[in-house]
Amino acid sequence: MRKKKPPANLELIDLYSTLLNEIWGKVSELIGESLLTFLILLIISRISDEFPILRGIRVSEAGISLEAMRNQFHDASPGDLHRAFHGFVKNLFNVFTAITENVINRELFSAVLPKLREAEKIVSS
Amino acid sequence: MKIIFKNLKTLWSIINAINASPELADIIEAAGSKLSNLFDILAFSVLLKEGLDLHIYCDKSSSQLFIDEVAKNTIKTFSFIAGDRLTPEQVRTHVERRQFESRWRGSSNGRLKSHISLPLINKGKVLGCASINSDLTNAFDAQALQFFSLITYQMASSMKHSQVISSMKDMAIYDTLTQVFNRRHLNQVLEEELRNSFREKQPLSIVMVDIDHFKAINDRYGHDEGDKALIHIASMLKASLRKHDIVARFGGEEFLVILPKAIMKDAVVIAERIRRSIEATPLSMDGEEVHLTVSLGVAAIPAIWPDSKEEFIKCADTALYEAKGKGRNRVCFYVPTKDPPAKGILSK
Repeated sequence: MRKKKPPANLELIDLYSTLLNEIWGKVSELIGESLLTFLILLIISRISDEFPILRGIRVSEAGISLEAMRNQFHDASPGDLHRAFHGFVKNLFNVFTAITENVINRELFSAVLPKLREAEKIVSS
Repeated sequence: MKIIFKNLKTLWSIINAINASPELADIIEAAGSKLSNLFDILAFSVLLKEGLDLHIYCDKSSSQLFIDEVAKNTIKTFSFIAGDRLTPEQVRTHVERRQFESRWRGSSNGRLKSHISLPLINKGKVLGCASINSDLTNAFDAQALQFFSLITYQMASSMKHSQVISSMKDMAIYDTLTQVFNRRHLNQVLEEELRNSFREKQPLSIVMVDIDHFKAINDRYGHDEGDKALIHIASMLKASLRKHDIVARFGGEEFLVILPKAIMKDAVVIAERIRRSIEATPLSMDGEEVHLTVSLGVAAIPAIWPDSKEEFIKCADTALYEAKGKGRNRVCFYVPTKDPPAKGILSK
């Protein structure tokens, strides 16, 4: 019997959860957990009016989690989820550029770009 | 491996220097004077949110163009992080030119090519922004970022500690409502001024100031407006005094002014100036324009030679009592007799 594929929105949450945890791991090594927490909260506060879904992101110095979103946004459309997370990652890169030019982003490109492509595939399928 | 150990040793010496003082200026100086031992930079800059002071430590070979670019970029990054749109005109810039150890390339007319600008954060609050700046492209790598993050983390933590100590010091000496000195600090200062006056045989005057009909003001306009009256009088007192004069809240609606090196005549002139300016400056209370008045009692050395600060204050208080008795809104001064202070002659 074939294993049932999870709905696209949950698949996207899982994918972005992996991506954000990867970003957390790399960036917290460079600038520390407290500054990274501050920057993530800053971005959420700035763009959550446009993407209310992002209010479901839980972040503290212990790490970043999308667990709460799985229940909260189980009926959100994959397109909306992708746009929100894509906006979030884009803003994250903008902040990293503003403070360190390309020092952080250089460390992230290889991890982020394939995941974003994967997310686009999920949305378009 | 040796280079890494050397860098770590330098990093620790910078962090220790930052930790060594609770004074804000020393924390910035510690970072500014030592960061060039760790990074190949042409300038280090710190913009503090409180006071909007921008400190730039740069190598003496830096061009003015470079310094301007550093200032502009630090302000831009801070604005981005803090969400305040600052312009260079809103910021007070202090430039320190130093001989940076890492500058072996000689003079530079370069432009700002790379920077790392990190927010100074403590418990989620932005205290400012610190930046290392270079005239080389891609001057900083991941390890430089790690090191600078540790330094800014330590700076933010020491700065917060310094702010706490400074606000505790303020709370210990200032009256929280009127922002003039409190009575405890007044006692210390007056004790000291009396000692100086006796030792150096210099005149010293004090003026006791009391707001007329303050109870009626509170009854009519309420305590919030009463507080406003106290703040108004305190600020009028501060504005009427000389640079080295001291004003303190003595208690309730009473203030005490210390006038170092002022003889009785000068003290009466100052007291009269205070009285007139308060009378002439209306205060809006509950939508009404109210002209407050004060009564003032002056006591002065060498007109008297009090045994203690308590006796000195009692003389000024006696004069104040006389001013109240003569109809308020006036200045009286204490003239000694052979009798105890409370029975001295009082004059307007």
